[in-house]
Amino acid sequence: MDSSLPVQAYVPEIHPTGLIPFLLLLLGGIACLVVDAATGKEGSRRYLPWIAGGTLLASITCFFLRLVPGEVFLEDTFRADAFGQLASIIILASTFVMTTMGPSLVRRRNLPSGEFYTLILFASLGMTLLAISNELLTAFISLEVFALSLYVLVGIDRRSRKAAEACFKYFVLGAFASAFLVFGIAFLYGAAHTTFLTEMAEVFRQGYVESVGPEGAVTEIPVNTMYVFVGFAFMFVGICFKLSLAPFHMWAPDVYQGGNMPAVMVVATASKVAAFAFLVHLVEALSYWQGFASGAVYIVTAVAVVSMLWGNLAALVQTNFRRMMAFSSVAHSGYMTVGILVLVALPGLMSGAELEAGQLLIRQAVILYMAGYTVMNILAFGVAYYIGGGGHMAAYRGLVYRRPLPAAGMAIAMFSLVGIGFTPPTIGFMGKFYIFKEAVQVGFVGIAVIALLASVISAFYYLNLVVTMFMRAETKPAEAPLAGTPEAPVQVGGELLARVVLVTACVLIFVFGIFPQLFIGLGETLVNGAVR
Amino acid sequence: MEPVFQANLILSTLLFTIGVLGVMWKRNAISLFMSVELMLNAANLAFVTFAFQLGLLSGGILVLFIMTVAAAEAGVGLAIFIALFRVHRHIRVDEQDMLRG
Amino acid sequence: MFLLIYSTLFALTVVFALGVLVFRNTVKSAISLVFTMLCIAANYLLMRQEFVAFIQVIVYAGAIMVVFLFVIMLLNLREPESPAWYLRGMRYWGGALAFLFFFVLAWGIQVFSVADLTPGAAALEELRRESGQAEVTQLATLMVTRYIVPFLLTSVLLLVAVIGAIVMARRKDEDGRDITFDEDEEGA
Repeated sequence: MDSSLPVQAYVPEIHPTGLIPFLLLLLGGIACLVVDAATGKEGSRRYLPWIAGGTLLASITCFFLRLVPGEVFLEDTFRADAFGQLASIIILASTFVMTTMGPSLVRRRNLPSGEFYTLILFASLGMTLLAISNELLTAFISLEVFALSLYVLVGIDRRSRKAAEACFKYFVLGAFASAFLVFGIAFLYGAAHTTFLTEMAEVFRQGYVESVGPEGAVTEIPVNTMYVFVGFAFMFVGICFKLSLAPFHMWAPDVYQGGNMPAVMVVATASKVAAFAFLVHLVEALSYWQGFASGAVYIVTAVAVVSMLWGNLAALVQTNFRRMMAFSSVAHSGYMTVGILVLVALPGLMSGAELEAGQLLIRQAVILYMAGYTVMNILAFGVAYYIGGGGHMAAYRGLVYRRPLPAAGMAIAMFSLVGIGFTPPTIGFMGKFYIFKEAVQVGFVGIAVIALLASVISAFYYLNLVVTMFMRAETKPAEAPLAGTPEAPVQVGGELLARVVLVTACVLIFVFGIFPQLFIGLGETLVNGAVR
Repeated sequence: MEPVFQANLILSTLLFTIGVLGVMWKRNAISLFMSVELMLNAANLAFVTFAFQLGLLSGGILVLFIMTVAAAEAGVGLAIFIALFRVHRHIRVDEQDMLRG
Repeated sequence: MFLLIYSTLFALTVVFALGVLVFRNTVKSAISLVFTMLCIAANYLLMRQEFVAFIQVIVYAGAIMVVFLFVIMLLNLREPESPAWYLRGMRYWGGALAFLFFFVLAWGIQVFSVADLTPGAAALEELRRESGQAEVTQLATLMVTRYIVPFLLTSVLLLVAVIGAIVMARRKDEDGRDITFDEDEEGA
């Protein structure tokens, strides 16, 4: 495309206000470093949570102030449609919850607070940019920014051997995945002669690339089918690693078990939302290529089915809460991939305005699911963090009698995660309902049935945890870990903000579960009223 | 002489395959990470070949950025390996088994 | 003559890459990787991408590999037998699968070749002659126009890498004491 030409008079669509939320994150991260250097250990522990949390809230506010245009901006590099903006808000909210958990973690494990909060902010910068990026190279570098930050955040607790191992495994498989991603990008670049997704969609729609040869002769080069498929397959594998979709999920249980809980929470929620948002934009661009659905449907179906079944079956036999949640997240990524499947198949079934309406519907279903998944996981991981106990099931035994409020929160999260049958008014149910409805309408009835069966399996282990919480504790309180040891529970009462956040998560599960249109409508409002 | 460079794509795929095999076979974290570098090099070769064949300029840019990413990754990765080495006095990947269900 | 140079280079690249794979000794493996990278740089030169070739030599073969060798020497590493933890027992059929995959891919790339359709190097030469600019100038212009965002993001990436490397490699904790490992801990 025009990247091959020497610089020409190119009028860029910059929309500088759209950059404000991201610049805020960048400046906030640098401010954390500077304040940390200026105030020393105690001072930075006192001020940095406020700086980091405030920056994240300010960044979310920028989206609500409609500073980000709901279209492509900054020379087509970003595309902040309703989907991307909502994904960004979810990501920022998730990282905000991490900052509220930060102070207790930093104090308890004696972590370097300056680096901790800076990396949180840079990770959120990378994730939000990935969620709205419209260009493959930008997407790749944003992905690396947040991946490197998260590797380090997972392993930041240097006193823990398990954290070192988790960090190592996360890094090795993450680097492996990013090599796949780059190789895929190379072949897509070869197919479409551009790295910009909107241009790519245009090339695939018309089926050829116009190339300017010597003496200005224009030749039409047909799009190479092989390159498109190789490119997509490799990029998909790379993203599957990030989404911990089976069979590329082997890092997830170890990282969830070994990393510190706040970082794991962000790995489980925000990083997946970001990667998924990017996958949706990528698949949307590629699906215009006429032969795309015929091949890609098989890859995506296989991954979705294997993830849903394997994730839920493996979660059944776990004895550790964190490993159980890891396999549960594999299964949930599988449910979301059903949405991708619909997106792949859609252009083969309809066209024009009908197609756009269909894509909008499935984007809304996916974003609703991601919001629900994030809220439920924040609640589950948040409660688990404040209960302590390293994820051993023993810590949950008789929790209802010892600490009724956290137990209630955990029970709500578990019921919502089941998301089927007897839990209608929760967001977990609504998310699944919308995605499966779209799948059935497009004709993937078999997939929808498998997904429902998988959800039924999942009910066993989620409800098993709820039952465990009601069982009488076998251990005497005297045998419980002493205060000051790493296993000791964190007192929720000491942290008002954390309590507020978890209660908000509980409320949101029901509010969005009963009024899902509220959330979807929010996205449309943000985009349609955006400052141009 | 251009058609010859079509073979570069084969070479790139071959290097990538060797890299994948390296990640599968190597037990030492550093050798494993070197295989990842080989895979990134394979991708770079594909980029430059495409840019050359299709008469594009942007391929060179992409390669430069990927090299930067590789350097950043290597920096963090080797630091993580050193941290792990302090734990075990070795960095053999298959002997990392503290975490299990 | 050109074909001879190219095929020699092709063979050398593959041989050195296989060297990375088969050498037990980590240092030999690293040196083999350096030579693979040099061969790739020569390949870039054949494609007249001079700037990229030089960067490949300086940054990749020079800087990154030196860091690798440095860490290998620092930690005094050797490569033991037997495959990695997550693929135990999959060594041989995994390898067979990988090469099968390679042949399918290579066949596909040959069959679906577009070499005869593309304007190729001639167009690039034409482009350069018309603009009267060196390769570096053109790359630089592109970098600060269309690819300005990745360029800026790279600075964030490098900052993250610096912070991350410091966090992961340091010996002392916040209070300036040596980091000791918890006994039988559950972490956070």
